[in-house]
Amino acid sequence: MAIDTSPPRSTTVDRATPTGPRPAKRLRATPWADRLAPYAYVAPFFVIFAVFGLFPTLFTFYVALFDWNPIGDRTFVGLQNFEVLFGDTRFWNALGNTFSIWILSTVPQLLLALILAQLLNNARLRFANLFRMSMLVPYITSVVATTIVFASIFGREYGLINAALQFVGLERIDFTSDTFASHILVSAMVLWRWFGYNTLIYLAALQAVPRELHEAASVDGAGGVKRFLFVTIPSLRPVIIFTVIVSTIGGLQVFTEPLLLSAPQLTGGSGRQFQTLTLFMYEQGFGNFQFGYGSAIGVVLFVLIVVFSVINFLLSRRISSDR
Amino acid sequence: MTTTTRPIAPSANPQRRQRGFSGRVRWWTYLLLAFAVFLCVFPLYWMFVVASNNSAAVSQLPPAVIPGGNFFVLAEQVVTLVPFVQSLLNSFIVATGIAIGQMFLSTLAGFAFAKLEFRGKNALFIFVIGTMMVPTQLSVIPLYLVMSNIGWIDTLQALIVPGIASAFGIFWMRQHISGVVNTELMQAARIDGCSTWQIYWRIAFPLVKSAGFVLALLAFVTSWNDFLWPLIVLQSPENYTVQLAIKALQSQYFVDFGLAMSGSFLATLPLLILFIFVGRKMVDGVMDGAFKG
Amino acid sequence: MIRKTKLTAALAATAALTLLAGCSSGGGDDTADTVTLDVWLFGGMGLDEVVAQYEEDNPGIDINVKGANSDEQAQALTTALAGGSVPDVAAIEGSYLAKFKAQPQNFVDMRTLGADEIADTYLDWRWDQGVAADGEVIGIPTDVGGLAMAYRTDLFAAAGLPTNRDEVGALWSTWDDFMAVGEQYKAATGKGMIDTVVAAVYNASVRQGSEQYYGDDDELIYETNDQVRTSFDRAIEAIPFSSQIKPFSEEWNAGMNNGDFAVLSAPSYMMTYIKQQAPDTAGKWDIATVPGNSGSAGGSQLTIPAKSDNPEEAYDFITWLLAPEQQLTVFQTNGNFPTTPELYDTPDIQDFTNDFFGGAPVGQIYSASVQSVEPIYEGPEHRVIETALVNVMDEVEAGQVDKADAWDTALTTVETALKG
Repeated sequence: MAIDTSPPRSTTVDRATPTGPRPAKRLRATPWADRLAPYAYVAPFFVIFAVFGLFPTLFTFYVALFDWNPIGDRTFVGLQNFEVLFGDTRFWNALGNTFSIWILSTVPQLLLALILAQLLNNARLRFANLFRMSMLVPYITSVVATTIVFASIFGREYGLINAALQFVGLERIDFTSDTFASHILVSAMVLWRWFGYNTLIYLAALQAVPRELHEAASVDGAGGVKRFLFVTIPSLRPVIIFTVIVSTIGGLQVFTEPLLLSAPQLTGGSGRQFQTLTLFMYEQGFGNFQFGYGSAIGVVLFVLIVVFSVINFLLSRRISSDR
Repeated sequence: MTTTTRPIAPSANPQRRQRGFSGRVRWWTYLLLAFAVFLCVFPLYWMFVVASNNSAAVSQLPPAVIPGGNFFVLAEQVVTLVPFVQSLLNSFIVATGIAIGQMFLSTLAGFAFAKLEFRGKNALFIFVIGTMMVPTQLSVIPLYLVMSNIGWIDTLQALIVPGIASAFGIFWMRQHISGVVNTELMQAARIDGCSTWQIYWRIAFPLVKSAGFVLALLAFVTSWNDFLWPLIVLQSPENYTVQLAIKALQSQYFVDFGLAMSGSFLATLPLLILFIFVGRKMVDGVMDGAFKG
Repeated sequence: MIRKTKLTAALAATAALTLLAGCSSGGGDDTADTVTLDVWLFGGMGLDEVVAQYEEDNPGIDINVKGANSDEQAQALTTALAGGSVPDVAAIEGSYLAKFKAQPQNFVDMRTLGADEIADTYLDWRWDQGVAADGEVIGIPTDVGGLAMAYRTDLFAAAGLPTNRDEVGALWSTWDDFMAVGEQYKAATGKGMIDTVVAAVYNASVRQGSEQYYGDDDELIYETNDQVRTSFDRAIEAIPFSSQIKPFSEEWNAGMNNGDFAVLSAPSYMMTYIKQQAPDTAGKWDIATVPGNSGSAGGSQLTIPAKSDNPEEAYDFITWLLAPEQQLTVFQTNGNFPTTPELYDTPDIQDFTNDFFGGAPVGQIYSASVQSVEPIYEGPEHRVIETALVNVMDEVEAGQVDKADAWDTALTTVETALKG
């Protein structure tokens, strides 16, 4: 048993530096160091998560019980914030908007992704890499940039879409004042950002489907549409459910798009027509100095998301055991 | 979008070539795909059109649809109105810090969970998976209070440190390490006198470098584009990330699309350039299940 | 709604003047350390020169300016105060003042730095806006948004309306007259005369009384105050001749050039804004008095957060910046109207005209407007109430809320907003 001259392995941070070439004969690690090593390796995650993830999450529940003015007083009010919240029309409005935007973005997005995945899933397709890479271009574009561009394209007076509508003789649409139109605008941004990403996910799953299955369908004389209905969709079922749930969790947190569209106000349009739950939380917390009320909204969102995550977990487990 | 589990194991599948469909490609397939490419790329093109014209050209009917010669004029205004170059640098520091930190931490913990035996391993791993369900983004209010208590408000580490711990990264790297790091090899190395650290650094890490790189790439893109948390925690313009710099351009005094678009384009450009070089790797990563958003 | 004080832009010009003698005597000149002041203002143009000027005259001071719009500034200041990492000087826009004033412990009471001595220099009611409940002076007034109407003479001529500023002023001496003019313009041109009803009508009209949303003792009177209801109804009535183009939007800037509207409610600083955004319309604008003849579009105060490391240097900077000499220069070059009455009767103001606006005697127009303003008490939730009301008017204007339900909707919206 030799003596390890290196510093104790209690932390991993000091291990981050590459050690460089070492002499061919190495000293043996002491058993206690080897026993502790695994803990040291996983510790950074747990420490960081505890301080910046777990604690703030638990603290949200605590703050939600107060009337908490970030620059003034805080008073314990028990569950009053929640009582007010559930009677607050703005909350239900934001919840409704959130779900509306979620449906408007998710359904067309996943349909589009499925179709594109089937089109891309062909070994004889030329320019396949170009097509695939283009699909990720929206993903690398920031939401801030996306929103600014879309606000211009969908602008009421000088936007491209409205210029086109006018050109074909249709009425102009004010995409930020009409409720439904504003949901379409926000959804379009979410859709744009994620449809290519989901296309690639589906494509990967489709490529795992045995070729015989596709070919059997083709030999039977099935065209693209039939193949889509009878091969693509059934074989992607677990992945589809998974992506639905992931986009639900994402959809519950849509924030930047409505914030920038409504800036400098935080109301998501003058009638709160496109204010989402996360924006409502931000408005109350950082716009109206109501940390307690804002945290209560955070708690409700938290519960919603956990519920969807659990559904995700149960569903995907059930589906994988079905197969 | 949030980080979460993908039910499908990473498929380093050598048989992929024999899978998937192979048939005659119709002309309309190309047409539809070309349209999809157009949808993906057009907003960026439009960004450049507005960023290179003067505002009169784009606020008329019909608007200009081809790039003008005004790009450098606006770009110059962008860099003088807000500390744009500084913000690019800040974004680079933050995104690189998170990318490297996340890759390192995730491979290390992934290695421990995949290849080492220790008491409580399973419980700890289940805990890691469980944290993926916790939407920590929603705790911005208390997180702000935490940062203010430790004096990290308006600092870049307030962005970097919370960003390097990724439950998904650990999960993903664990999958990869279990798949490619051979237990016999490890035992041989141990007999040779390698410490656990050396096994990780000399054997495991090089084998999963590629997967780690993809993880780092996606972390880089995600943090480059992050907005809500920097918006709350950063205050001084000299500490702004590039997303906040664009926002500041948009909200100086009035909305000037030309400036905001110019800023947006300049902020996206570094990622576009990066993408040209590593785009295929990212595509492979996404198709490999690097589910991250 | 969106009212922004274009302070920073205005300040650029003050570089011309150097009236700094004795400003920071002994303030650190003898040490090698440079004091850096973080200063949060509004807007974002051309501040470099004036900062350079102040810095040049005060070698020990380094000024670091951040510009944003007033709403985002207020949010950022809240988080800064809560987090403890604060700027040395922060501008707070008028309608946000009450909220911050309710927590005066977050700011330096400038009486401790000698603010009592300069109180008389400023308009009483503007000074009082920066004074908290127990007399703490937390803010020094910047400018006062004296109000007038900017109008396009070419478009008025095309609509068969008079173009002379006195005639136009007389034409809409009351709000009822204004409605008639708007309808006439719309009938003649088919276009909207004003940008939005909130900006052109409500904001001007609602401040022409002595009370707004709060009575004395913080009693809420928005529901019963006739001034509010009447102004609200006037705004609704003006919808048919509104272009519905939101102020400070891209479309607004374009509309100014393209003639999408002919009348803008113009706080004095707006003169420069129009000139910058629509340079090609030079000579086509003029300035007339506002219906009802008085008006203020608010203003801001400069405050020093309590946790600032350099309150004394900050105070020196603020008092220099807002001294009559500097305010006059700012007015002459950028239009922000001074809060220091001693200037009002001087030839510098009285004889001041603006060529872009057809040589209008804007000095006289704005000083008359400012001097007839009655002070209005703004309670802590002033901003919340105003935002809620304004949002409903926007909604009605956009056709999302029925005119008949407008007032009821407004009351419910305010009630909800006050709950949260």
